[in-house]
Amino acid sequence: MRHSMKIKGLGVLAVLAMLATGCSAETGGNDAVAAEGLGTPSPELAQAAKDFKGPFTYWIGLTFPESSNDLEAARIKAWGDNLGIETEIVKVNQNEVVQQTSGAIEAKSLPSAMTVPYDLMSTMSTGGQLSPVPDAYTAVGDAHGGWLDSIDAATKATSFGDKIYGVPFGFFGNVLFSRADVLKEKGFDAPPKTWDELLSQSKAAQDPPKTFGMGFALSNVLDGNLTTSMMQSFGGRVADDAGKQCTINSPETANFLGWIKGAFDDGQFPPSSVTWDGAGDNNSFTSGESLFIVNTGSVYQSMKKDDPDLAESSAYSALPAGPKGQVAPVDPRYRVVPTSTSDAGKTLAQDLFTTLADDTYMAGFMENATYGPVLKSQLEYPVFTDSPVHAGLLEQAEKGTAPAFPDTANASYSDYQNAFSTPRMVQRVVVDKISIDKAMAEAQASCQTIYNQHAS
Amino acid sequence: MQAKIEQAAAAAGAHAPAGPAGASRRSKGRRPSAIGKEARLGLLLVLPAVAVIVILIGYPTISSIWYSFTDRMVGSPGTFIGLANYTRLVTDSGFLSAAANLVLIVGVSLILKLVLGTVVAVILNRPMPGRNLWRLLVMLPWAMPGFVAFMGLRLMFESPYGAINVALETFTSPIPFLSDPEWARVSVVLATVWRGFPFWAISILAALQTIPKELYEAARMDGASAWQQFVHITVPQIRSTVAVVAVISAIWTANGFENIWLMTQGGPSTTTMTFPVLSFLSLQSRQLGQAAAYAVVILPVMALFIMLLSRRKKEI
Repeated sequence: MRHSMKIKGLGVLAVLAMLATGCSAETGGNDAVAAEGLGTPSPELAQAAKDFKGPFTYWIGLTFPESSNDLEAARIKAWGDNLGIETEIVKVNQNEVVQQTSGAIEAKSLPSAMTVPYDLMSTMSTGGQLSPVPDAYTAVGDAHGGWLDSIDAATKATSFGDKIYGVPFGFFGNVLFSRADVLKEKGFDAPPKTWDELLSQSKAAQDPPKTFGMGFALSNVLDGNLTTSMMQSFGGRVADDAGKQCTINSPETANFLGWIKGAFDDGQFPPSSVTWDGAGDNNSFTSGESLFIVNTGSVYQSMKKDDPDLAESSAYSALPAGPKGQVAPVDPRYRVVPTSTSDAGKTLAQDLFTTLADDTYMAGFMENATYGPVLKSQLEYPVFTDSPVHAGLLEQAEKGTAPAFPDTANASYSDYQNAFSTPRMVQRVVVDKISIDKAMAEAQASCQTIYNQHAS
Repeated sequence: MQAKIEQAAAAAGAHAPAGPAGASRRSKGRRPSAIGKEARLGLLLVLPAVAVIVILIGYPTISSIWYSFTDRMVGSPGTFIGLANYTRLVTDSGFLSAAANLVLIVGVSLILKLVLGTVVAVILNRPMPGRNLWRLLVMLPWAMPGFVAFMGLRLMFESPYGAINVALETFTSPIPFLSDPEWARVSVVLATVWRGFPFWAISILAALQTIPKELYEAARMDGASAWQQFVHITVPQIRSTVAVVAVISAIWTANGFENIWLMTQGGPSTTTMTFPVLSFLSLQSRQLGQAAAYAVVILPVMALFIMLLSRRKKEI
């Protein structure tokens, strides 16, 4: 009996030891990159660390794969350890960051610093919830060869009133994924350059109900907002140049709605696209149901791991153009500091942003995460030549359109997008079968309500 | 009548302080003072509970009602705009759909849960091998987390490769369970019923077990059929329980969020829209005033349900 107990005890110890070895081996790899370039803190920084009260909380916007998030968390922890402050890292699903931040604003419990999408930075800065960080922005830019022009222009948009509220670290951009193998069989050797070409290829290559051409979400999810870019490429606009009066009700929007209704009624979209959740389009492509989807690149990362054959037989290209040109907005992601953070916390946060921009660390981070480059030094990262999706993002960094373009990027536009107004208008036409004029009138009214609220 | 009053008086006297001293205190009116003291102590004791209710229920409710009359957005106080948030609802397709679904989804779900719950309860009330195990299994849909239940159901309802469509593929072409407006309503109702019927079944089963067996024996001796026994004995005996369960279930279904959000997000378009989902969608665009209006507009309906529930409880 005692022998048996001893053996069991040794077994448990062995398992624990194995687990510990496994864990330490993994974190050891991360730690090497995470601790890269951390030196002795300046006296000013050391004083800020001393003055800072409580744990330094940082909200990471989750990205795929998880290893990227782990690396970021390890880097932040290493930075905190170096300064002798406790860090608390919270991983926030990017699909829920608006709701979570809204709750924190109301509860007055925003973190010390956080990552946010461009839209949220816009609404938070308008609401006076963000502190300007011009020094960190300049310091990071200067240390890494300067900011890319498109990112610099977006960060200094006039709606921010000559203030810089965040330090960009990467951007999300949409890439068109197509089943090159299937399309080649039908004689299409190159990805479509326009939405009309895409529709023609879809019609020729799909085989419903097994496969559908256009795997684009038309539901109330972030991916559904692709329809806004589509509408804009047809010449439709959300609002006027001043960003105050909604202009959805237009012949150009009607043209777009007519085009998408025609495609939907013709069976080019998977029927479930009107109720897909955030992963619906991704699953549709990876399961072989859809021939085309638009994605930021996370699907490529997933396919590379789980279905390398599909990754190999797919093509990755820029978003198609509409009759009025290509609308492929870059969506920069920022590190920001809420106004509620103490002065010492603000100093620390800006140092953290500088630390997180380190090229050795960022090259490792971007190896997996599907962000486009924002700094000139990032253009040299191997991933932007090795990975076709990252190469597409690199191209978009140079040729893509500014956030909200051709509309004016402001808090009203952000909330229009947050309300999924365009996909809801599309659903009214393709699901409820109401007239295009009525759908546009409804969307115009709800849009104007949002814009008026920001004006008041 | 007079005798009853005398009896009551005597009973009261039994608790009064004995002897002339007691009578003297009553005559000098000191008894009400003692009662007042007790009442004050009572009030003091319930004060924490009242404070909790005021803080956790009263304040949020009153705040929501106030917000619904403002254009408040996240992080800004907003201004009073009267009934603007409510007048907007009249032309809001989502609101009209949510109002229709309040009747349709809640009504149909209740009927189906009643039928299914009663049938299952009657079956589980009969002697059978492994009865406790069956009772446990029936509870599973209700006991498992809603997220797991509805995500699982969503995957089953997917078209064309969901489990149900795969099972039916030899008989029919794929059914658009979640993307066709009519099928989406059916799917949401079925999912809601599946998750909710165990509560009915277990409540009705508990009521069934309180019915004296002698009633059935007497009815059988009188030649009553099984159906007659069910209609004339079982139904009257479980009616009160069913009424309470119905009201509670109606409140839960009307306020249900995860069943709709995880299955259809209120779509396609606004076909399966409900008030909680509408409110959540408004919150996504940070419009607290509008979101509050969607939540407040359903309050009278909820109040009606709660009133019915209170009345039922009193009867029981």
